Amino acid sequence: MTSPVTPPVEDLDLYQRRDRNIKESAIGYALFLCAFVSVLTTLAIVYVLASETVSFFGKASISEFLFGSIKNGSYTCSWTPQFADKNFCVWPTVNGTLMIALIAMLVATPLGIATAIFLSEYASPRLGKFLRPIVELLAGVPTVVYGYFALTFVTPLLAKIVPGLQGFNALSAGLIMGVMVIPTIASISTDAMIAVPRSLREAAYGLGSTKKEVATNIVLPAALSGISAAIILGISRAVGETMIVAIAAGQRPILTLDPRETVGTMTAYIAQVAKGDSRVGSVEYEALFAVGMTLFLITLFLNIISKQITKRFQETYE
Amino acid sequence: MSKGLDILEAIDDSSSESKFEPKLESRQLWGKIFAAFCIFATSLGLIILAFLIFDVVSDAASRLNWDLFQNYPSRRPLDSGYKAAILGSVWMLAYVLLLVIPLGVSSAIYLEEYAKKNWLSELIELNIYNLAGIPSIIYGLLGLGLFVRGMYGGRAVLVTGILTITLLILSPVIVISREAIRAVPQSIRQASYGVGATKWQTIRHHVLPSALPGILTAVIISTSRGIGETAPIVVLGAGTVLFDPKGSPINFGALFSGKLGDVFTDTLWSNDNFFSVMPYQIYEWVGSPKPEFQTLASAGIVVLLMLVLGMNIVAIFLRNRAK
Repeated sequence: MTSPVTPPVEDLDLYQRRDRNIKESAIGYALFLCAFVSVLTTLAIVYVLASETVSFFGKASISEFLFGSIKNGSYTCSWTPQFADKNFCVWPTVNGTLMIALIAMLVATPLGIATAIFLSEYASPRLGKFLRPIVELLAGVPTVVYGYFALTFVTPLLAKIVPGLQGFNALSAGLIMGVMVIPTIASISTDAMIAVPRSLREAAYGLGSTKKEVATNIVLPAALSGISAAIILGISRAVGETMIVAIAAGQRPILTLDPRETVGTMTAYIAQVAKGDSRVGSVEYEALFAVGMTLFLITLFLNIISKQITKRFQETYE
Repeated sequence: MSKGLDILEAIDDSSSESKFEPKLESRQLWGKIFAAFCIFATSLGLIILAFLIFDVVSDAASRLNWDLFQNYPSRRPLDSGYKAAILGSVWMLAYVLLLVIPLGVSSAIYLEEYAKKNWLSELIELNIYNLAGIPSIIYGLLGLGLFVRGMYGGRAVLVTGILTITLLILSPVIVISREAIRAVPQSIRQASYGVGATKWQTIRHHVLPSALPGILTAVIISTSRGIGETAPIVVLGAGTVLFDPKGSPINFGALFSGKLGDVFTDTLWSNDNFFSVMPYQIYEWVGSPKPEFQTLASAGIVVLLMLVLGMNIVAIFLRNRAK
């Protein structure tokens, strides 16, 4: 009797299981390592920014950076690290950034919220599903394209209406940046409005409200936390945007509140100086990272606030 | 009793409209105005996009020909073209995809399927959320400090750009891929476990194929952002150079014949290959005082927009099919 030799069933099973277990846990660890790359990225960003910023403050005083200085008996606050007469007061760049971001938000907030109301309240679900990705297309346009459009189309157009408009100005950069920010606000606000329970709307309709009243008096307040999170995230986008401002707003950081002026933002300054070849270890090179650190901290702060608001909002409705 | 009726009569007498006026006409008028404003706001963005495309194409019309793809940048605007920049963008796109797909999808799988609820997973999640909100120019500073100065002695070679853009789009890829993986019904996983599959077999054969359209959407949308990014490339110190690689980004001949050492050519980091990419070249020429260079910039924008919007439209189709 020759019977085929088969290994005992239990042994075979045991062998496979051990093999499988090793492979399974190895895959788990490999996937974890990939996910950990993002943590390393953050650490690297903080390290690079912090180390150069520390050596920057070895050469420039932190009080001048934050408050300006007294030179020749008069108070000055200007940002000119790349000139022979060096001044290290960061506010002119922050001023440019905030002014343009403010203009952008004046455009993007009403338009973004109105878009969200249309998508969640007026459009049929099918139309909404069709329109949303198209609205989001606006965020997909490369910002260098927006910059070109602001410089060659919007500025000449505005120059006919606004007297005293400079060739590079905060106004047209801000307006176009507002268009760029619309999808950020619209998208998150739409989600927040869709999450408002249907019963609230029906109660309002039952009392005889019109559609507009339901939208503005019921849905808008109920979704307010989500909308504020969206607006803050929008500000963070506007503050961090580089190419629109570098191309259309100019590169002259000054303290002004006039949107017709040429200004310089934090991001435009970084782009301008990095483009020129500054020596490693020179104060211009380090100033780059000090401004970068300031920008990093501002956007991080805004993102954390936005996240906190979203968290609270989720807790209320789930 | 009669007093009660008196009150009722009194109410009837005093015109009820003065106490509650429905004001229906004006409210409905406002309703219409408001609806019109919402429709206007929704379409305004699209109108501006249409204007933008029309403006750029009409500016560029005189330069939209094959010379644009065949000429290198030069001092003379009429002899200049985007060959170096287009090659640079294609190389960058190929390598960014090669890096970001495995890294991003693995991270998404880990966070959705493997991560236990503990401080480490929470740290990674919070961290990815924050990374997604950091301005792109900060990634440029990271690339400048870590890759250009730290690893390649101050030379902005192609690989520094590839690594910077990969890190930049990694977190959006992870965030959107996670949503796709989360959307796979739990019942599919349970059925797979039920017939004795391991965790990885379940993911490999059931979760990933179901989530594939969503993951592809994530990758395509994020890479389209990545190749449109100018700011980090400017900060790295890339130049408008004669980037002229020999052969294709990945040596497929070597790949299929098994010579793995020759798959990646040294163009990535040697040969003084300071690189150029489309958006960077456009930025250079937008800033030029000569109007001919501005025309050239607009022609480049047409090419870049076709690429980026095309990728976005493909992604939208994929997403709609996935639903």
